Amino acid sequence: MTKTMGIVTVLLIGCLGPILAGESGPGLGERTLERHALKGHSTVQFHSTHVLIRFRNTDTIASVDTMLEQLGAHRIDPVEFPRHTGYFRISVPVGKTAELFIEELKHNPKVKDAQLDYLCRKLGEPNDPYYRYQWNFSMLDVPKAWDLTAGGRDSVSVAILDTGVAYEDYIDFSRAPDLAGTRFVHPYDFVNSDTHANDDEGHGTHVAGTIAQTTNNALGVAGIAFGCAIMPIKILGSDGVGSSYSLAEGIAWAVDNGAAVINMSLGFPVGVNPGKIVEDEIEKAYRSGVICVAAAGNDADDSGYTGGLEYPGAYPECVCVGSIRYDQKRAYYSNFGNGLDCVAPGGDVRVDQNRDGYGDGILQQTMSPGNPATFEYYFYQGTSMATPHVAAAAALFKSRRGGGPAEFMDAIARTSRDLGASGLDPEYGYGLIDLLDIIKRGQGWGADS
Amino acid sequence: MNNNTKLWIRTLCVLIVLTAVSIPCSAALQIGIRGGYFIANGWSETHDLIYDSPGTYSIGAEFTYQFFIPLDLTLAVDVLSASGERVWPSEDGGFEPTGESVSYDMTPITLTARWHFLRESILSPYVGIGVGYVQFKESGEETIDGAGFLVQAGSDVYISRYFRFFFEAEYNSYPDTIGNFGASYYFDESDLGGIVARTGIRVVF
Repeated sequence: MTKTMGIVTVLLIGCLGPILAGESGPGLGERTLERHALKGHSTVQFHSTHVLIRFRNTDTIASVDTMLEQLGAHRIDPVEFPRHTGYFRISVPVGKTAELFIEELKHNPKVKDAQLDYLCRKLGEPNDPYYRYQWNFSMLDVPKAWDLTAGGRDSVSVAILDTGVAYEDYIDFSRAPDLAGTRFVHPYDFVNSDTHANDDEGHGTHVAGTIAQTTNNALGVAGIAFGCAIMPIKILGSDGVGSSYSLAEGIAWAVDNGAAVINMSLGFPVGVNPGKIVEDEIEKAYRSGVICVAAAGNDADDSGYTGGLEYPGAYPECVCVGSIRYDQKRAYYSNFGNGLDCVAPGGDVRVDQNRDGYGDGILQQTMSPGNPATFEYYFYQGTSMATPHVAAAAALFKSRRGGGPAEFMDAIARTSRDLGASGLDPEYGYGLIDLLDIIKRGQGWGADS
Repeated sequence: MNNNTKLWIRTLCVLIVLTAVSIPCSAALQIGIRGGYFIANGWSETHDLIYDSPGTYSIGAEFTYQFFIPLDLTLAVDVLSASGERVWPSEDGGFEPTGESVSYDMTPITLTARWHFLRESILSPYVGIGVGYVQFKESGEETIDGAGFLVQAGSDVYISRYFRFFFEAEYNSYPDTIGNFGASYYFDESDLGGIVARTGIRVVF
């Protein structure tokens, strides 16, 4: 193999595919991702229009109403007297906040107790305020999976071979705020040959977020395997381009440093095998029990595309992931072909099928374009975005004492929700991954395992 | 007064006479071996499901230093283990065995201050309070550890100048040590503690 063939360009999968119908395909490494930024707001924790109050003397409803009238408030409930707790729900007078009204009530000698009416939420869903836009989590029943695994364990690490991850404050780089509680291990930058695998593009940070965004931190969005650790390995430059060499080095680094799962949201052009250097490392990873998950590619809407998967996803040792959208149909850009193992939500920002007011992309936090120190929440689409869902499933599978890649692939084959043609098919593989069943396919429960 | 009441009073009088016998006791240092049965009170449903029993046997050793007559301090190490079978959730909401065996080794290390009553009698009851550190290792898993506390009550029984037999009951708690995964997470049980009925022999130096 010639030297030039040895450094075949790696295409950034998430960057591919025109957003608007009729557009021609982008050039090599060109970024055409749709971005919708969400601005922050705080989570409402109590009712602001009413408070709860208990009086020292509630002889008659008339006396209660008289007291309330003196306070400038009125009863909300139609019942004559509260039946169980002794508390009334009363309105907050116009011009007052609930908190101030509570303070005022506590100084009233007729009032025995007053408090805010706090909001509760059903258990299992995180308090991250943008979680409601993560339709992909609902599709995979992620909260139910958390009931079984609590987000996985931090001894299980997922290597992310990508543009890096915004995991540390270092020179011009910053740690993404919504990765503040995420554990990072053994970073390495094979582009600049140092141990600071910071993201200078944004893709890797977004991918990392789907896997292990800090969750239940009342900020932003959630990650599927938030209890697991991330191993940031930068093999793609700021232009989203890498090579066979950097990919192979990255895989070797991940295996040598104990990664349980390797996420590769990247690919070479369809038909281009990155060579023995990558093939050998993929095989070593497989034999070492490391689960490799890779994207199918985003070429399906390119003119002249007739099918086929991109490497490394096309290797039989890798779990090859295609993308579906909200209605569980194959995304227009998602590659297909024999060897596709499964599909996961990868989004389609051209449509708003869930009617949440935004294009149906995958929402995670990443850096603003060209500025590695500022962060927003962006909807991305692509098989790049579908892949970390499966990598996260693999991490939870591992967290539950699941086996190696063979067992994981077996679990996918046995548990995926069949889509498209019955059984294994080139368009959806075995179907949509069933996160809950995959986790249950782990080797069973002990007391704390 | 019926015959039964008379019998109880007579028995009580005998015990009082026995415990009133003055026994020379210089027990500044004691080394003991002990064994007992541990009921996994803090993780009962988990233990019952995985290990098919409410608890397991324990054996251990202890070292006691007497500060002054009623108060001593005991450092003890126990070892507990049990074997069972892994399970996973079944479709009907219950559990099904996986066929894979699982076992655990639990090692609590405790430091207990005990206050004795009737120290120089044949029966020397005591109460104790202490702190503990536990290591829990399930097969194929990483070791879990945590800290906790214990309270106990028991009695020394004078055998000879150099030997004491003892029996005691202990309640211990190691909160937030388990419950992150598996059955204990499912049952919302996070305390590795339990209740121990224990007996043993102490050698007095």
